Formats: sequence, structure tokens, C-alpha cells
Amino acid sequence: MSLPQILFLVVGVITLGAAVAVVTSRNVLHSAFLLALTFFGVAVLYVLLDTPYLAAAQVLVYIGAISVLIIFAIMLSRKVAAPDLVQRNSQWLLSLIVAVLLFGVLAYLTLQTAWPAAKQALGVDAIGGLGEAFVGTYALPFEVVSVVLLVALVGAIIIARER
Amino acid sequence: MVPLSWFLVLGAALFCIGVYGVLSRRNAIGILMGVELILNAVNINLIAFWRYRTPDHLTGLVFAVFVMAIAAAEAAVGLALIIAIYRTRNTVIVEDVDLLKM
Amino acid sequence: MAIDLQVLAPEAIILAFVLITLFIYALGSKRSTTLMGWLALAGVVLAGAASLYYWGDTAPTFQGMVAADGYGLFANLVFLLAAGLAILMGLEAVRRFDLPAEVFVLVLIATLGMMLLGSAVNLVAVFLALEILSIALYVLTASERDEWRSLEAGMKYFILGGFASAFLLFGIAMIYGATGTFSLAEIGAKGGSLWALRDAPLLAAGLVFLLIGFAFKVALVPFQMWTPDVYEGAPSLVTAFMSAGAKAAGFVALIRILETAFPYWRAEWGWVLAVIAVLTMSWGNMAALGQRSVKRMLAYSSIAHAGYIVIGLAVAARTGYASVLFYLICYTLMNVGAFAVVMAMGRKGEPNEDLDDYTGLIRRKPGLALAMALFMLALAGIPLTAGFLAKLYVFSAAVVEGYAWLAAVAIVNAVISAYYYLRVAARMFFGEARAEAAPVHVSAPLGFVVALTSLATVFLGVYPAPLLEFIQAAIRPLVGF
Repeated sequence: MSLPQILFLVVGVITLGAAVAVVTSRNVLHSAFLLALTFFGVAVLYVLLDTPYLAAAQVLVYIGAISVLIIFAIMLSRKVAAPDLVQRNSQWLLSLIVAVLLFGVLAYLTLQTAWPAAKQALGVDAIGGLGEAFVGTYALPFEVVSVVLLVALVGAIIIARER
Repeated sequence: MVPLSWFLVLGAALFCIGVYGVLSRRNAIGILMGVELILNAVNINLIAFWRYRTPDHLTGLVFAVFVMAIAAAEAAVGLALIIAIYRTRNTVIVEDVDLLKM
Repeated sequence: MAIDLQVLAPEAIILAFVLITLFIYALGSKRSTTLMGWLALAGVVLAGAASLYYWGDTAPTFQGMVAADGYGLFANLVFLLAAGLAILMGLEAVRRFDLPAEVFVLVLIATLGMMLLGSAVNLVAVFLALEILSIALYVLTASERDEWRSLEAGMKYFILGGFASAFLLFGIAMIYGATGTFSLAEIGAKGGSLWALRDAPLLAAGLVFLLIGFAFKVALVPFQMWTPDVYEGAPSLVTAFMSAGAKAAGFVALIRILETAFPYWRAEWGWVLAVIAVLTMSWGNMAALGQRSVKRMLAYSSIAHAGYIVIGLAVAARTGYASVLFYLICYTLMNVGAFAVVMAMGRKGEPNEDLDDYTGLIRRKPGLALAMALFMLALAGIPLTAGFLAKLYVFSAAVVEGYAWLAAVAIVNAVISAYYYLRVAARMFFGEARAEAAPVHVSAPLGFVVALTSLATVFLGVYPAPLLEFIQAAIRPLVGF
């Protein structure tokens, strides 16, 4: 077993373990911190996939923005984090069955497909190429994303301002 | 070298954990965390497919960046909603959002 | 690479007016609300004119992301119709229900999302357009101030919508994994070839996830459970806008995706959609039967109508798609009209949505009652209304393409639905109004919406020929010949 494989297994187990804890923890605040750990594990996976740039973006956006936003929301609505609150709804068992079945189907699909055995060397400069793609081939989607951010901005202000 | 299928199985597992979170949580913030897990699973798949199958075209990578931006925008709106609801009712429990119930 | 900006002219016009109205809002005073409304309406009209202007046989695409073909431009007109009517309703709603002035901006942004969705020929564009549309609708749903119902509906819509988007994305990722591309045309070319055969199960699973995501967005059984609460809780103008426009956008995009990227599986997805159609229309109609709230009844009825529309998709043929486009226009008119009446009945803090509030309306507001009766007859599919012809075309497409059983189920459903529609009409005509019933006030823009939609409903019911020809031309770029 090579070094990247060992690294993958270690990070993978930590990431999935943290993710399971996120959805099962009785304390929402613990969930939020574990969510940040999951995001970090995913960032390490991006490094293994030769995209350190995306790993940095993952840390900035998911840990730096989304996790912090979620922790803020929990702090601002204190009662949610009360440890004695039941966080599971009545259909959790059914949900568990659905999720496990879904995983079975997806894992089967993945394993029965004949994937290319090895990855080729990266022929393009990913970071430079990404920058060019945003102003070239993907200029329109790039602009459209700015509209999404605009509507999110306007929307968040409408909803959250004092009524 | 890590085989592609490892990444995909991990992505599938993360996806299903997220689905379980969305379906089983009573709390809107908890559900939102489940959705974020799913979006991360999607990005793992996208980037892994890009790296192993079409490394010369950056399409998968570009899409993954868009997904990140969208996730942040959605989270902002969602948390604004959660705070607005908490302010009016002092609760963020979403008991009657039962996805599996007809 | 030539960049042809005029391909995006209608979208660019809408975006320009989004920014203009936002600036007016930032600079303006309380009175600028009305100005914002009229500006938004002007943007909608101009974008409609641009869509007609660029109508032609050529179908230029912008960097392989969006196509300005007849199909997309025609779809633009449907969305702009819904948006224009919603903005007119909004001119009254901002005063009567104290909605924030930003609703005009959000309706415009949502329309932009619909237009991009209708012309998207790449899954990247499909997803981003869907997100613009969805986020704008979450906020619009929650926009009624001091109204708990509205906020709760927005929350519910956000949670389920976000989940649906994530599902859809996972499907897109799988499709990308199987074909290595997001372009619909390339997926269509590669998916059918031998190369993809070993990846076919992955591609099929991707399609299933994609369909589930769309089924959530357009409220098809078994993914419809969010609809009644959201439609009931949202302000009426928003409900009208999303049940007509957003649903139309979902269907238009779904037809393009299925027809361009997955033509080789027509038999399979046609069969799946046929089953979904039966479930959706039956469930919608059964649930609507027992409703006392007229607004909630219309919410269930919109599920049933989505079921009829899916029949047109399920037959997977030119006639089916044409009948869907016709249905979408007719449904927009009669449905927005009905919601305009619901809005006219309501006042701040008193929705007045119960069946009892409509009792004897003919003696209190004869014009409004007649219009509402017309919309109910049209939704039920009574001849001489647009609703009748819309159903007729969908059902006959099903019969022609060998889905006679589907048409039979649909006809039984239409008969059942007549009960709850006609009950509203009967109550308005033959009931005695309660003494304490609140006076009903109809302002000029709202009256215009009701008049326009009722006239158009009758007009399309007796003289549909020009529109049908237009539609035939519109679907040519999609299915050829």
C-alpha cells in the first residue's frame, strides 16, 4: 500500500466518522464543530486529487464562511443547542433504512463500473486554466453566479431585517 | 495511487450520511448541515471524475467551484430564514417537515 | 471564438431592469415603490419584445451554454406573461399586504432564472439558472411581513428546495462521470454510443437523481408534500407566479433535457413519467376534494394540473410537447386569474380564503364572481374555455401515441375535479352571504389582471389556431422537421 492510499484511508475514516457524528449528535453545537472537521477532511481529499487550489477554497468557503455562519445561527438561537432537546424526528429509523439502501445501490454502481485504472499526469495548469475558463468558456455561468450571489444578498436582507 | 472507486465510494457514503441527516433531523439547522454534507459529496465526485476521466478539460473542476459559491449563497439565505423564524417564534424545530410522509 | 451577445438580449434586458429598480430602491423614498413596480413591468414588456424580435429559424448558442432557439424564446414569453401578471398583482399587494418593495426585484430575478433555465443547453447552466429561480422564490415566499404563515412556508420551501437541488446535483455529477461532459447535446451523442455502454447504469442512475430533483421542483407525486403548505403560506401573487411560471420553467427544461440528452431511453423515461402522471393527478384531485380553503384547494389543484402536463412529456413525441406548451400558457392565464381573485378577497391579517367567504359573492361583487366562475370552469376543463382545449390536446396526444389508458385515467380525473371547482362557483351564485362579510375592494391593476386573464381564457378557448401554429414553429428546433 502506497503512502497516498494510507493517507486516503486515514482521512476518509476521520471524515466519514465526523460526518456520522454531525447527523447523530444530540448537541447541535457539537454537530457544527464536527461539520467543520468533515469539511477539512474533504479539503485534504482535494489535495490528494491534485487540486490544492480547491482545497484552499474549501477551507475558506466551507470552514471560514459556512461553518462560522452555522455556529453564529446556533449561538443566536440558543435554545436549539439545549442538550436535553430531542433532535431526531419520529421517522429516523425509516430514514436510516433509506440511506443504507441508497448507499448499497450507489456502492454497487460504483464498483461494477470498469473505471480507468490509473490517473494520467495532469496535462494542464489547473489554476491558470481555471482562471481562463472563468473569463472564457465559462464566462456566462460565472456572471450568472454573480446574480445568484446578488439574489442571496437581497434575500437575506429582506428576511433578516427587523419586521 | 488511490483508485477512483475509493473516492466514489467515499462520496456515496458522505451523500447517504447527508441524506440521513436531512430526513431524520427535527431541527432546521441540523437539516441544513445534512444538505451541506450532500453538496460536499457532490464536489468530491465531480473533482474525482474530472481528475481521472477528463483531466484535460476543466469542466468538472469549474463546476465544483460554482457549487461552492452556490452553497454559500444558499446557506446565507437559509440562516437568515432560521434567525427570522427564531425571532418570531423562539423555535427552529421543523416538526411537520416529514419528507417520507405523504 | 465569436461572442454573440444578442443571443442573451432578453436576459440582459431583465438584468438591466433588476439593477435599475434596485438603484431606485436604494435612492428612493417610500413613494418609489410604485415606480419600481412600473419599471419592472416595463422590463418584462421589453424583454418580451426582444424575445419576439430575435425569433427566427437560426438557433445561435452562447458558448454552448444557452441557446436562443424558438423553443427557448417561446418559453420566455410564457415566463414573462406570468411575471407581468405577478408584477401587476404586486402593485396592489405592496400596499394591501405591506409586502417589501423588493418583491419586484425578486420577481424579475426569478424570471431571469426561468429564462436561462428555458434556454439552457448545458447542465452547468441548468443548475445555476435553477438556483437563481429557487433562491428568489424562497425569499418571495417568506416576504410577507408580520405573517407567520409566510415565514414558515419559506422555511419549508427552502429546506425541501435545497435538498432537491443537492439531489439534482448528485445526478449531474453521475451523468458527468458517465459521459465526461455537461453539454446536453454531447451527452445525447455519447450516451447512445457503444462507448458508454459499460457506463450506462451510472448514466441511468444520474438520470433518476436528476428526475427526482426536478420532480421536487415541479411538485410531482411522490415529491409533492411541500406544495400545499408553501402555496398556502406564500403571498397570493407569489403563489400565482410560482405555480404558473416556475412550474413552466421546470417542465420546459425537463423536456429539453430528456429530448436532447436522453432520446435513446424514450421508452423507459416515458413509462416512468406515465406512472408519475397517474399518481400526481389522482393524488392532487383526491386531496383537493376535501379542502375548505379556496387557496389550499388551488394548491392541490396545481398538483393535479402538473399531472396532466406530465402526460404530454410521457408520450415523448412532438404532439405531446406541443400540447404541453399550449397547456402551460392556458394554465398560466386561468391559474393566475384565480389567484388574483383570491388576493382581491384578502386583506392584511384576514386572508378570507374560506369557502364561506365566497358565498354569495355574485351579489356583492358580480364582476369578480363571474370571473372566478370562469376560471373555475376553465380549470375544470369545460368547453369554450382555454382549459378545455388544453386538456383536449394533451389527452389526444396520449391517444395518438398509444397511451389511451393514460388518457382514460386523466378523463376520470378531470370529471372528479369538476366537483370541487364547480362547488366554488355554486357557492358564489346560490349562497347567502354572511352579514359580517368584509367589503371586497378591487383596485385598477388587480382588476386589469382579472379582466385580461378572463378574456384571454375565453379567447384561447374559441380561437386557439394562431397560438397553436406559433407553438408548432417553436418546438421545431427541439424535435426537428
